[in-house]
Amino acid sequence: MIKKLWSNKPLIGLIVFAIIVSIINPRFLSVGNLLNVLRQTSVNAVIATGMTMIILTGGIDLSVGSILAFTGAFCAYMIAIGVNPETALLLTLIVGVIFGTANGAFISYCKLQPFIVTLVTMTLLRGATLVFTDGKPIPIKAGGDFFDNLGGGYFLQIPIPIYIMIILFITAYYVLNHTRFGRYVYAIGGNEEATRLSGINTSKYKTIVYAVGGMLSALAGVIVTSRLGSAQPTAGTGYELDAIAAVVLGGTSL
Amino acid sequence: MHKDARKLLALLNVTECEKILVSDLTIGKRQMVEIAKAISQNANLIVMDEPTDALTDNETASLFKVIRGLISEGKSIIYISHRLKEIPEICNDVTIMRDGKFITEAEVKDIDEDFIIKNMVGRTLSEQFPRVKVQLGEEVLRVENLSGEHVKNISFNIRKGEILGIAGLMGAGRTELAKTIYGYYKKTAGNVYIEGKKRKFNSPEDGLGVGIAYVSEDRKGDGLVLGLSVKENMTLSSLPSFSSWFGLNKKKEKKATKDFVDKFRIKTPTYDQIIKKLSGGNQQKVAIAKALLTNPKLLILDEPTRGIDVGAKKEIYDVINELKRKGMGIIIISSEMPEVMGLSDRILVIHENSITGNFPIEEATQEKIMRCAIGVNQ
Repeated sequence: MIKKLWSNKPLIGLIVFAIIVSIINPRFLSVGNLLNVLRQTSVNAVIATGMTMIILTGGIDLSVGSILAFTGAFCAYMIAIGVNPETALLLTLIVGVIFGTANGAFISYCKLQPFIVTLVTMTLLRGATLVFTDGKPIPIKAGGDFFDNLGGGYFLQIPIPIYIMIILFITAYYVLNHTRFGRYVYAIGGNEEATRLSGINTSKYKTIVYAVGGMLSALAGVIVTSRLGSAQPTAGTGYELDAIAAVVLGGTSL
Repeated sequence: MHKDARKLLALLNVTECEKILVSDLTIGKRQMVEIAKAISQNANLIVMDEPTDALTDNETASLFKVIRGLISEGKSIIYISHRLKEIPEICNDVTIMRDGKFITEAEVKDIDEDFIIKNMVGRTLSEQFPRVKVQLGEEVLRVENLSGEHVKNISFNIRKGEILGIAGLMGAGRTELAKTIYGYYKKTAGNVYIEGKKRKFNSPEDGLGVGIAYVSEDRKGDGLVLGLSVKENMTLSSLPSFSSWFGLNKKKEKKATKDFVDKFRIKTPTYDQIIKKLSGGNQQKVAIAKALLTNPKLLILDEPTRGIDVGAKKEIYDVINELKRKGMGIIIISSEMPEVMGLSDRILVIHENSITGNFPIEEATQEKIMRCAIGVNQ
């Protein structure tokens, strides 16, 4: 156990860093502050969950930040034109799935480099978001309790996004370690040709992985929009690198 | 630097330019480059682990010439090989190991091949290829005028309990034929019948679906996922039978793994051992188990004993004969003539992507097969 902990160098770094910061300012270790840190991390964590699966298959997704911005704006627009927030949330997730599927389909079926495909999606959607929002934030006026709580609410004094993050982590752990799909993800990352020759439709599973990544980026977009009470056209800039860093620090190798 | 490289390669009879990328060379030539690398370090002791595994006879001959040159300069070589024919040709002393233990050593001039085999397997191989006679059953597979990117106008059939050997030179299209039937390569013309029913399929997924399993010749390349465990590799093709809506049934999976580990005597410390750490023979047994777990009607074994030791070979032959007794249709592709002749009931010979010979085993001779393999008309 100790040995396993010791081999996780980033975690040790984090602990050392936390100790130093809490010596400089004891308020760092207060419950309020830690919850705040966790809430801020949760958006990255949601994206990183999808990114983990993508990186496990040997790919990469640079478009997560742009998908977040576009879907956030899309969701805010839907609510602004009077769609009820629950439906808007569902439609937004579907839009995320569509973008992810497009990424995955180009990568698996057209055999293009994941880096290039998602770079294109990233640039394309960033531009589309700016055009769509006209460069201005879209405020949420009629979010209702359900929508406002997604990003900004509390349950038992703990922010809702933290619950979302924890539920996602548990689900992802289960999917990766206890389902056929998870096994295929690892197998594709280990040796895609051998996996295909073993009778597995690797293109299909890779596409699904990117679709899930797109959906989780959209979920992150909804959380950010709900929390800020408006959709920012420049939201999620640089999030792809945060997510990739989180995945690598978490022990998945590129 | 280029000059030195040029000289070394010339020594090994490699005529390619030294600036060419290694990935553009054939496997045999890559092996020669590796050997040149070892020689270039000017070491006094060189360990060669199966250096001739991927070499042609010509390349082997030039390698031996180099080895003799090195020895005359006073260098020593440890030569690890499972090709017993090479040992009297190139070695002075021989050390035999089995299961990680030292067994015996001797001077090569005092011993013969039987002595080596006996000590490697721990018992005398009375008959290396015990032929099993079974009553042939119904037709499992019939291929009619099959053509694809890599094969031309192939027709043959195979029945239950029959072993069909496919012989031919390296690069003749044997593996491509197998992969085309399996669905890995596209079929452009012709029909495939499974148990008399015409089936159309163009992916490995569907190949498995109609009851064909393929064991690759290249375990490291596309046969196994080396970073996954013994268990994960073994059940990779048959995962649907171990999963429900609630995920994988790990108990059932473990039991299936245990059954095959016991039955095939796969030497692994645990089922979760990373497969990269197993020996070639044990890896091959896992690969065959993976195929068998899909309950195939037809099993295609591509070079099933390449790069594995004599003891494990014998065990794999036993497995093949056992499957034959149970009435499975089996295709064996092999570059080792004794293996094809010893196991098969019928032999197809492939030359330049087409069939040039089709003999019942009673009529097959090494000479006939070789003539077809090099495309000389009878």
